[in-house]
Amino acid sequence: MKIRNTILSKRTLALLAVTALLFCGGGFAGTKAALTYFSNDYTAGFQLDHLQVHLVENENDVCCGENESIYTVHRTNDKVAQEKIPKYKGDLVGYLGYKNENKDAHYGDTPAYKVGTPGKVDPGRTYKEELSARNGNNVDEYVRLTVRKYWVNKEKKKSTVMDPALIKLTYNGSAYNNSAWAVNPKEHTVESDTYYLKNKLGAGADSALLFNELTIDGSVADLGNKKTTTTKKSPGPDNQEVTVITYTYDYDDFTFYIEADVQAIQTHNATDAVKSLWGVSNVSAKNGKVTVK
Amino acid sequence: MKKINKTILMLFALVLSLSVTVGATVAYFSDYEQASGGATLQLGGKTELSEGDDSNFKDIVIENTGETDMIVRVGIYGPDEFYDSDNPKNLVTMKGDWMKGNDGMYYYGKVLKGKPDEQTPGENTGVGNLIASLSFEWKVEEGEQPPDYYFEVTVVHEGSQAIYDGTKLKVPKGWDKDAVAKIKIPASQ
Repeated sequence: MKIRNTILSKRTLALLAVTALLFCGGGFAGTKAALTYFSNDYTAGFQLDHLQVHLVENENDVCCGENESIYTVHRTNDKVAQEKIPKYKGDLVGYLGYKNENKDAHYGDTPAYKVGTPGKVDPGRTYKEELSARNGNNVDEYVRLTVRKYWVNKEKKKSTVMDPALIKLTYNGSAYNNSAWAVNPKEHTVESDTYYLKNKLGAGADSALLFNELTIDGSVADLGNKKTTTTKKSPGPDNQEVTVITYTYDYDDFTFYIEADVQAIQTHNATDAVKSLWGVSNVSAKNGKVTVK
Repeated sequence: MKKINKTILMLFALVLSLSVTVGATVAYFSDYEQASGGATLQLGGKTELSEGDDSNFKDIVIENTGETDMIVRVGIYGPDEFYDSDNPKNLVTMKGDWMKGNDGMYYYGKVLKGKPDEQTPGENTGVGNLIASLSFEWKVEEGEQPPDYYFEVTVVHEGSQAIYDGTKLKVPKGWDKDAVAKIKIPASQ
């Protein structure tokens, strides 16, 4: 009788009631949450834009162009002819057309650039080599371009004898006097220079040309030894004796190489991006302008 | 001991927080593209000198048989008697594009273009444009034979690859700069 009274005491009943209420409350809450989850169906989306930059050589996208490009060449008869020159993705200086030595020639009316021998370069000649950057997407960007030059000998090994300065990349005859690009003297090495586009490159736009001419300095012919070999050729049917003279140079068949690396960064928080991604402290980028101090 | 553990834990937490900061810093938008290429230098050349098959004179012709453009000059030297100032004799007859330099050598006034391919010959200076000949006169009595007289005319030929310097030609070492300046550069391919 004592036990029965304890079980059914007022306190016990009160606790049972609270427990029941809690269970019921929990159950309702769960039901409510389930109903909310299924009844509201919101959709949301966002676009993550990214930067894209391309290297452009003689108006052709170096990276993403066709494997075989058509180049317009000017011939002597003043007719514009087209030739297909094999050119592969990622290739630079795949084809060189040299500038006419005739000082009266102007691009467009008389042949300013003539057909060169693919893969070969004559010292002292000025070739067309137009380098620029292209913004390939719909976001503005800051751009810099690093150009490296070096020589490779006949054994296909990098030459330390030939000066990279003999490979002259110029804009209208000057290596550094370009109003659209600024060279960073702190990044200068014997082989390379880094150039910063002074204004941000707008979405889908092409930059001004960094270079437009390439010349191998004619003094390369004075380097090393020049050998002259004279031999006699057997008289032909006309009984003429012919002397054959062959001139050989130490640096014949050396190959020059140019490497170009174009880099783009975002225009927002660009001050930090310049330091973090480009690793330079004397370059500032803000309000659409890049300054090399 | 507890203090030391606490310090280590704090340092560990600091390193973790720093690494999180670095991770955030590199998260800038960027892109790049690289390309490379080159071309091989053409240095050298080959020329052929012929003097004709007539023993009375030399018809000097030079042909560019190499691939590169060349400029050429010739030295012509006769016997000592030829240089008698009291009785000068004409050894060389030139026409066309040949010209005499200040150094006494004969310069061809055009760049000789090289062979564009194996089948097509390079340019030459042309036949009959540079002639070296000598004639002597002896007064002999009737029935007397003229004396045996042997003489040599030496032709020295030199060529150099045409190296351009802007719109001019680079002057090879030892060449007459005035003569080289007059050499015509091909205006067209």
